[in-house]
Amino acid sequence: MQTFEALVSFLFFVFLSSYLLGLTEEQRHVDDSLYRIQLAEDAWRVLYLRGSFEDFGPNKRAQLEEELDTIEEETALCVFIDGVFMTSCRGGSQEHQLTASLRKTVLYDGEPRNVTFSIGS
Amino acid sequence: MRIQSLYKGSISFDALLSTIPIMMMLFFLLNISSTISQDAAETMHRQHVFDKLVSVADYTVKAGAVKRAGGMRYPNWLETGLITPAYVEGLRLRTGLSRLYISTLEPDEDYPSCVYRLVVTGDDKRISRLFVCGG
Repeated sequence: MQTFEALVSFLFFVFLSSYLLGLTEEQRHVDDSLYRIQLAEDAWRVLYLRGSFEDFGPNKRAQLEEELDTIEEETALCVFIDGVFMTSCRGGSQEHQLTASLRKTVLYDGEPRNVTFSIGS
Repeated sequence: MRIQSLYKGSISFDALLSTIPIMMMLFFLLNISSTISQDAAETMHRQHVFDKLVSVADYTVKAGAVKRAGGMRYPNWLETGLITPAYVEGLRLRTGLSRLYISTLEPDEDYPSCVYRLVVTGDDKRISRLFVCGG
C-alpha cells in the first residue's frame, strides 16, 4: 500500500514538474506575427513598385515569375499568389508552410480579380 | 505505558525522514519557479528589443529614408543616402537601445536580434533587403 502511495505521489510530482517546465518553453517564443504581415506587405509593395502588376495578364506572367524568383533569392521566402496560381517555389510535392497572407485585388487581363498573396517557407 | 514510550522514538525518526522528500520537493518547486520568472524576464526583454527593431525598420521603410518626389513619399523605395550615422544614432537614442545597425548590407558584427525588410533601391528599383539589428 505504501509503495502504491509513493508511486502515485511520484507520478503527480513528475506530471506537475513537466507541466511547469512545458509552460516555460511556451513563454520563450517571441511574437513576430506583425513582422510577418509587414514582410508580406513588403513583397507586395516591391512587386507593385517594379510594375509587375501593370497590364498584368497571361503575357506578363513570365516577368512576374522572374520577380518572384528574385525575392526568393534575396529572402529565401516563398511567395504564393493564389487566384492567378503563381509561386516562386514551383514544382515538386514539397509541403510549404504559410507565414502570412493578405487579400489583394489585381487587374488580370483587364478584369479585377481577388487574390490571396502569401509568403511562406 | 511502557510500550508507548518504546514506540515514541520510532515515530519521531519516521517524521524526521518524511521531511526529507518534502524538503526536496519544496527545493525543486522553488527552483522551477525561479527558472520560470527568469525565463519570463528574458523573453520579455527579447520581445521588447524585437518590437523596437520592427518599429525602427517600419519607420525607415515607410517614412524615415524613403524616396520623396513631388511632395509624395514612396514607401519601400529606399533612399540609402538618407541612412546616415546621425539618422541611426537619432533612432538609437529614441528607442533606448544600446546598439543599432541600419543598412542594406548584412552586418559584420553579431547582434542579439536582427530583422530585415524587403525594399527597392536606386532608380533601377533593384530588389534588396534593409537590415535592422540591435540589442
